[in-house]
Amino acid sequence: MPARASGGRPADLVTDLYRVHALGLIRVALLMVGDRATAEDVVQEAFSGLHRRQNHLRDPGKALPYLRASVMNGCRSVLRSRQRARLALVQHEVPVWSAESAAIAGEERREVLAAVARLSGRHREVLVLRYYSGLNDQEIARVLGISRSAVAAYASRALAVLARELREEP
Amino acid sequence: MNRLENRLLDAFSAAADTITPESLPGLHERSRRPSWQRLTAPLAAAAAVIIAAVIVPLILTAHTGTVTSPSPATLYVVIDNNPGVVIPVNMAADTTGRPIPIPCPPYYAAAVAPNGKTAYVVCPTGVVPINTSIGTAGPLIPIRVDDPNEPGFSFENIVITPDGRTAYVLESANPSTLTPINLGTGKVGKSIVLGNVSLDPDTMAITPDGKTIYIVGYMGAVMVISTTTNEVERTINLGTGPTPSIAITPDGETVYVASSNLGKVVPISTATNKAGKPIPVGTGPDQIAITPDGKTAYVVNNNSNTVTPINTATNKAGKPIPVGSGPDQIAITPDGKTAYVTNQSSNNVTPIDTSTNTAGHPIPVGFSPASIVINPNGQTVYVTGPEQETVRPITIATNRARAPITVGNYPEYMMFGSTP
Repeated sequence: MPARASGGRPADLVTDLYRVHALGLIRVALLMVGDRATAEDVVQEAFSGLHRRQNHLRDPGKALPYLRASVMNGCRSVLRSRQRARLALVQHEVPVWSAESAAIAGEERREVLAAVARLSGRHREVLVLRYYSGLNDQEIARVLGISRSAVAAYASRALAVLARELREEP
Repeated sequence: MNRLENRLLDAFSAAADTITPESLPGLHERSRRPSWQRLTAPLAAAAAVIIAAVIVPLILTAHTGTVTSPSPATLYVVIDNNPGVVIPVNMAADTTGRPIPIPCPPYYAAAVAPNGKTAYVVCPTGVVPINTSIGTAGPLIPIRVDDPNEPGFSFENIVITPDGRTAYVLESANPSTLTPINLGTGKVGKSIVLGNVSLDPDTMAITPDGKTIYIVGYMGAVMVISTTTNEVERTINLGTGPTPSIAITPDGETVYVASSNLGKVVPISTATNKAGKPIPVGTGPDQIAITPDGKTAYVVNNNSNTVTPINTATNKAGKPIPVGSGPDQIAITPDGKTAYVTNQSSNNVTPIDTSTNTAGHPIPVGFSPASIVINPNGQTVYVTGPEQETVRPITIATNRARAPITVGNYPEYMMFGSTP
């Protein structure tokens, strides 16, 4: 159902947003799901959702928070279905931070990314939005639809776990 | 920024840089159709599959659910989706009823009127009443929004007075406000201004007599609001940093506020509105639950995988009780005999015997459990989490999980109401 563009502006809005933000959003999704193909799918689905709802978008300024939130929701769905697949012993794509994929230089970096990947969903989301997207806790709270103190609590718990695993000061 | 944070920054950017701008089509040539448009058709097909696989069975179970014997009360599960939906669960039959569509994406906050007949779900631009007697959502009660660039996302919480007359909706914005809604008329009253954005109010609790609301702010300030005058009576500055939770004893005498940075719980006397000596608990204390007799407050220590009991008569902490990994939320049975804690990382629930303060065998409940509530009849614990698509009932008599009840994507919040 290729949606008909209603007037020039809204279609341009989504296209413009895609040009400006697709790369950043795909990179964020990559950090969550580990492989590029899935990351691109998740982001395309988010843009597709925005495209379907653009007539309801009262304020274009809200589009980016909406996209971020729907990318995070998409990643969460992927990770959840992988969790089920793992129980059924189905293999999925090799993450970009595995030694096997050899995409990232430096054992130390791979160790950090693998430790992040072992954290549960919300903890990873908070770390990626804070340390990659550079959002503050208030913005993260809005993207994830949780309270700001929950963000702070997830972040401090995630950092504490990483510190232990990576033998660093928390 | 410490060394660990720098390592995170470096590793994240190294991983992100494996995708170069040149390798992404559609970013530079304007004329080219962006790939989201190429994908629209397969996505519609995928959506059809999802509707067939998830929604249709939901509707089918709905009918068996409503036909089977009615239970005294229904569990309502708020699904965090856009637009949202509330799923009624028949607690006698472990089946779902007809889904109640919500005209907006619900926020993680909802409350039920004391008579159980109306539930209120918080959305980005207001509150949606749900008539639980007939199982339908009414129109949105819009609430003024301060920041036009980010309409909503900012309502944090809702409480209803014990007489069922007024709901108070908390908004974290600039300025932060608490807005009363007359539940009899649906009229939105004048917002109470709490302060500027740095207060960042987050969670709140109302005293059993309904006269006072305590709001905790992100920066460790507690605001005391009189529901008689609808004014801020006092601001108690704790200076503790993040305070993620608040609980009030059943006699209304003491408010407990957890400080996650300090690893302490601060007692506040409601008679004097003065903070008492902080009580050291575990690392990263968060949720607090108080036994129905008011004698013990249980504090979940997120980072030390323990629960600390506090004697409310002496405000002394007992020995921490080891639970599972990543403990999150806690609920206590109506008879006060058992506390149940969800362990997000170890995917189970730990029962705590409150007479001995010892943990029983963990009960497996599926991936990343978070929310937990207990049927007021004291027979069943219900567990869910946004990473699940089900609600897990646990039989209290045996501490065994029954078969999961499918409710759909992102179940966030559970509450009890009357049966449709």
